[in-house]
Order: sequence, then structure tokens, then C-alpha cells
Amino acid sequence: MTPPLPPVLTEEVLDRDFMSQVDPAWQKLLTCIQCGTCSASCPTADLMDYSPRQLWELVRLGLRDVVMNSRTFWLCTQCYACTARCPRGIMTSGTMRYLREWAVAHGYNVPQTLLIMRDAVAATRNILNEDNQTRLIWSEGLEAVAAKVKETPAELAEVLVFTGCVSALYPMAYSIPQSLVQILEQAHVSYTLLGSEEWCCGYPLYGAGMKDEMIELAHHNVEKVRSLGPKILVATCSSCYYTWHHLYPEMVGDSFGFEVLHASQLLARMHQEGQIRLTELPWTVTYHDPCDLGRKSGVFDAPRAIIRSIPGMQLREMPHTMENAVCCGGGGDVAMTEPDAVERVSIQRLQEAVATGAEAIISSCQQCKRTLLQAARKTKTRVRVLDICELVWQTMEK
Amino acid sequence: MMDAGRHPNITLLTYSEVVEVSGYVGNFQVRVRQRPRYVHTDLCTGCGACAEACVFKRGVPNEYDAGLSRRRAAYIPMNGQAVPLKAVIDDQACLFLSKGKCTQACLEACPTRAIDFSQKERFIDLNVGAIIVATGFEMFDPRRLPAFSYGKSPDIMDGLQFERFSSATGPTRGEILTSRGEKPKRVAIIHCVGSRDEHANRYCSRVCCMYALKHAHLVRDKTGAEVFEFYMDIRAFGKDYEEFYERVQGEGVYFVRGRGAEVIVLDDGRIQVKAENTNLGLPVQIEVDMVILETAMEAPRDSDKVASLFGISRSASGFFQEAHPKLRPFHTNTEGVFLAGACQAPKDVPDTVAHAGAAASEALALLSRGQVVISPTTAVVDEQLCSGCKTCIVLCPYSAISFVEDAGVARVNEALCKGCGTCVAACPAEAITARHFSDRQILAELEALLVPA
Repeated sequence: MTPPLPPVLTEEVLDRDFMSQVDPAWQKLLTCIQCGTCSASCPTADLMDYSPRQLWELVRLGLRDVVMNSRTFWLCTQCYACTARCPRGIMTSGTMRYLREWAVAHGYNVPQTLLIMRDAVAATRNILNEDNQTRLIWSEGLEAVAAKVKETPAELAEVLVFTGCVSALYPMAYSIPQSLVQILEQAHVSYTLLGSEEWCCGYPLYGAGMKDEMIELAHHNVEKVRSLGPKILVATCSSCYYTWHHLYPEMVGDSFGFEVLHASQLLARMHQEGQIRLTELPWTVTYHDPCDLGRKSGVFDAPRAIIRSIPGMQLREMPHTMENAVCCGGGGDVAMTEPDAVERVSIQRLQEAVATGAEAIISSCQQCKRTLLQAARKTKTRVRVLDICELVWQTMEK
Repeated sequence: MMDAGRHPNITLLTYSEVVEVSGYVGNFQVRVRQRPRYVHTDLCTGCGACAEACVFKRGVPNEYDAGLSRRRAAYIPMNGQAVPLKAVIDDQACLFLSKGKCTQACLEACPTRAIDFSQKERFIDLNVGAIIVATGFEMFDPRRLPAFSYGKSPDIMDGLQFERFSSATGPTRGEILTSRGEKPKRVAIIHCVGSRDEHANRYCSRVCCMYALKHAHLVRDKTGAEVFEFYMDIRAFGKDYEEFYERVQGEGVYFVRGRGAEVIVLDDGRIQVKAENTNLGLPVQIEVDMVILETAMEAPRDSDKVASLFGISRSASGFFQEAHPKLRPFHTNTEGVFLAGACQAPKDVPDTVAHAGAAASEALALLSRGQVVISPTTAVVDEQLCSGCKTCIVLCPYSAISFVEDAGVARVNEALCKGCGTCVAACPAEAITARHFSDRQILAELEALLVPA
């Protein structure tokens, strides 16, 4: 239900202090021109009670109860489309997240599922509330890999694979880390994993407005990886990559002593250096840019370079691509709070992908894969959804 | 332009650029590089026979038509309307000049034998009293903002391309047509592309609102198409401008108060524009057959070079900095160098004409006076104390100090010195003083202030 506005704006209902309590960049927010670029770029705007543009005006005026009772900022997928286009350069996605922080700090209508997620991470160090000792469950059955990954090896490895909670514990995404370690195995690249010492990167907490809760996770993960001394940390999950690349440096300092790469970047590099040879696969595919990897990190070329290197493969771009890509709906914890909204957004994106004539949708993120695959099942659409790691493993010369 | 070309006291140096400037107000030495046009202008009659004969039929994109048409290597610029009306041979495009392989049909075709492939660039040295910089602007390249999909469909064009489409001398002889050769049924006009945008230029480009309204009027008038005009604010600031806005509103244009957020080309080539109607808070998604991106004026890419050549500074926006935003809007901080037109800031035609007229009369007034008034506060070198270390020469921001070789000392040019005091403070031998601003004078002033009455 849309929280009601006061019948008249009088000096009594206005509160200029609210904005500065919510958003550390409030002075920037003051410069909003109310042009509506944010609302028109937002994948979930039509489900919101107040459009993003209207929300900034409400925040600026300080209509606190209207703002805090609005669903708008809980529907934000943190896809960054609005921020990338805002002509005033306002960090609009940031404001959405700060509103969540304010809600969490003041116990104001925080969705129950996010509180459950917080408790799960605190207790088990993963978002699924599973025993973290089972974090290598995805690797069971990989005989060659098993010996190496069963326990965290003490030896120094070149590459550390950071699997992330979803790939490690959601069966639908197991095959992504499975593919990556098999590629590394086949290419004779020494690698290791943190196993049960790998904790949630903290990004779901960050998105939920619970940034403080992730600091401990950041320190733990950085220390554990550092103690193994790899040259490269590789994440198959775009959100884990974003966290390692953009958020951890702010929290623990940026001198990790190792390079942070997304799997698509590592694979593109290995292919360029001749460590991976790709064999023919005559498919027409399209590529879906994950927000955390594409718009938010600027990695557009690496996955496309791999796709274009596969003999016989044809890449057809969707109308919304690269900087203009539309979110699959899987970001910003909206899947936990408003699953119906995610379904709508993901079906729209799926339809756009299918309209290109592609037989397969390639992405570089387990969340995008899961979300789009669920949309395909829901709509009974015959299309494959593959992660870039799966595609490389499938076409790699063995 | 035609009048300037005909005036007995005006010499036009086309195809030329200033490469060196020295001296000072009333006495500038300017070196001009004139590129070879491979045509003797005294013989050329501008008949265009060379362009007809040029064998490079495919040609290169015609810059005057914003790339919408092509021209050959031999051509008369501006679709045959250049001043002076003379042909030029583009040495990048000319098959003979760039590759050495051509039948040189133009040589034969020219009735006055004006073509000469042996022409070389030449340098012209001028001694002038004043300089007016009128280097203009460039249009913003909308490719820099991927949300507008510029370049992905021929029916997404910038304002300048639309101007060419609607011009009688343009590629369609003034007919407004889509790439399918049909009159458009729905046209989107998007304001503020590359202006009022932190991802491009923060300034308001000033002219775009009015030319966008003109475009809306032209589309309505010539095609009857529905026009959707996406805007944040309409800035109709000039005389009769608001009235024109009102007229275009009355012509039935849909004004959508919301910035064009995204232009998307669908798989089958259809074009969609997205925005928010902020008056209603409703999303807008309109399918159109033509999009006009009303792009901003920008400082030319090489304006940093021009600025350092003439000793002028630039504002944060990249345009040349005037000496005072209100009282000296066409002066620069270099005496004798003036600004005219859009090189100083985005300007429409009436403002440009006014600005240029003012700059010209200021330059004329300066020259007819025959002498210049300078500030008495200049630096002076005591040649007895000067050790000839040249520290001051490097530091002077106005290049006003030179080294006198035979005397072995530095000397200040009073016409160039602005009395800033940099050299006074820097001189290790304390050989330089600022006239009327000496340490003794300042101390005396302080003393007078501090002594109890």
C-alpha cells in the first residue's frame, strides 16, 4: 500500500535533517533535477509505490514516515542503471542502500527474511544456514579434484578459487566452480580453495543495509587468503568479485598482496596465453552482462572475447547490452524480500534474450544463471542458460 | 562572410592556421601556416569542373553534411558555398597525392589550368596590433553516452545531422525522411544530450532548447509527424524566444517533462525511447521512427593548444576565459587579444554577432588610439644588481622578461608586465622591484596604520 502523503506541505511536516542522517552524500542529493532518468532506467520502478525520482524528493523534504514506509528502496536490485545515467552524478543506488541502513539501524520495517539471513551468516558463515563444513559439497564426485580440494592444502598455489555461498551450496550452481577447477586442472594451473574457512563475502549483508556485520567477514577472508599466498584470487561469482575488488579495499586496505580477478578475466587471459584451446560449438548465443561485473566493474570484453573465440559460435547482442544491460532481477537481495518482483524482471530479460534467436544465454554470474534459468522453467522456454566457466569447460580441448 | 571576403581592407587566409605568436599589444608577430590547396586561387573560378572530373567517385564523408553525404577529393567546400568560392584538393583523400596513382582527370578538366600538384605549404609572417580569437566550438559526440544508442541506427541522429536533412542544400534537399526513405510518423527529440550531465558537460549549452524547438516546428511543419519532446527545463531566454516556445506548444508537440533516459534499437530495427513523465510520475515508453539528439556545444578538442599559443586561459568547461564575466566579456588577460563567439562559451547567433561586434570595435579602438595605456605597477630590474641568473625569466607567467645578451641582465617589457610580483619575490639578488609597490612603501603604509592616532 502506498504510504499516504500529508494533505498540505507545511513547515511542520518538513525535516531538513532527515536527509543528512540517512545519506552521507546528502549534499549531492540536494542537486537532483527531478529529471526522471533514474525512474525510467529502473527495472523494478513500475512495482514501486513511489518512483525513485519521487523518493529523492520525499527524502529531501524529510517526509520520514512516508519514505520509511515505502517499499521502493527494498525493491532496488542495486543494478546501478540509475546511478550510471544520473546527469547530476548522484549515487542513487547508494542512497537506496543507505535507506536500508537507516531502517536496519532504527528497526524500521526490515523484511524478516533479511534478519533471518543476517542470523544465518552470523551463525554459520554462509547465507544458507548450512554447516560451513559442507562448503566443498559441490566438489564431491570430482575424483581428480577431490584429493586436492578435500582439505585446504598448505602448499603455495598460484590461484585461489573463491566459490561464494551460492555456487558452493545451491545445487543449481554447483557446476560453475566444478567447471572452473576442472579447467585449471586440465591446464595444469596450481590452485587451491579455502574450504570451510571460506566465509560469505558479506555482499548480501552490505546490500541489506547491514554493512557493519560484514567487516569481520572481510578481515577473515582476506587474512585466510593471504596466509596461503596465492598470486591470484579468482571469483566465479560477480558479486563476490565486486566485493573483493571494490568493497574490501575500503574495509581492510588495498594491499592484499594478490590480484583479484573474475573467472571470465582469468579464462580470457589463459586463452590468450594459449593455456586453453577451445573447440567448435555451432551455437547462436547471447551474453547477459551481470550488473556487478559489467556496469559496476567495467568488465565487458573478457567474457565476449571468450565467446568469440569459440569456433562456430555466433554472438548476438541483446538491445540492452553492456552499459545499458538490464538487471536479471537477482541483485540487491530482492530475491529474499520480493520474489515476485524478481520473477517479473527475469522473465522480461529472458524474453529479450530469446528474441535474439539465441539457443543459449551466457552469463558470468551464478545469480544471473539461477534467476534466468528459473524464468525459463517458469515460462517453459527452451533455452540453455550457462555460465562462462561452464561454456569454457564444455568447449575446452581435453 | 561574403562581405568580409569582398572588403578591400580584409585579407582572408583560408586553409591556414596560426602556428606562432610573439610580441605584445600593438606589436604582435604572428606566423601563419597555409596548407597547400593544390589550386591557384587567382586562377580558380569556382566552376566545380574538377569535382565533376575527380575519379574518386566513392569519395569520403562530407563534413559539411555531418557525414550524411560524400564528397570527392577535389571539391568546393560547404557544398559549393565556400568563401572564397575556390576549389580545394583534399590530400588525404586524393588518390594521386596519397597513393601516387591517379589519371589526374581534374588537371585536364580545369578550364583555367588552376590545379597544381606541386604546391607546398607556406608560411606567412604578419605584424599585427591586435588579435581576435574566434575559433568556435565542436558538437558533442553522443557516442560518449551509450544510453542514447547513437550509431546503432541511421534514424538516431544528432541536431546537426537533422539540420542538414532539413536544409535545402542537404542530402535530401530539405525533405525529412527516415532511412527507409519515408516521412517519419513519430519523432522523439531529446534535450540536454551532453550538457547538464556530469558524465559529459556540467554546463547548460544554452542554444539547444531553442534549436530543439525549431526542430520540433520543422518536423511538424514538413511531415506532420507526432513529436515527443523530452526535456528537463525549457530555457527560452532570448527576445521572442518564449513566444516561439508557446507557438510550438500550440502546434501540438507532446512536451514530456522528463529527461530522455534511454534510446534502444530493437532486434528488428524499431526504436524505443524511455523516460519518466515526471509531471504524472508515469513511465513513458514510446516507439518512434526517428530520434534527434540535441547535442551540446563543446570547446574544440585542440583548444588547449590554441590557448597556449595566444596566452589565454580556459575555464573549467574548456572554453576560453574572458577577463571579467560581466565587465570584460570579450577581453582576455593578455592585452590586445580578444574573444569572439562560441570559443568563449556556447552562444546562439544573435549573441555571437553582438560578441564579435564588440570584440571588433574594441580592437579597432585600440589600434586607432595608436598608443596603449598600461598599469603603472610594473616590475623593473636594477641592472646594477642583476646577476643574470634568469630565474625571473622562467617564472614570469606573462613571458614579459627577456635576457639582454650583451649586458648580461634581465629586462622587463612594460607592455607585457602585469605587475604580479612573482619576479620581485623570486629574484635572489633582490634586483627587481615593483613600481609603486616596493617593500618600503608597504612598510610605510603598515606603520601609518599601526601608529596610534
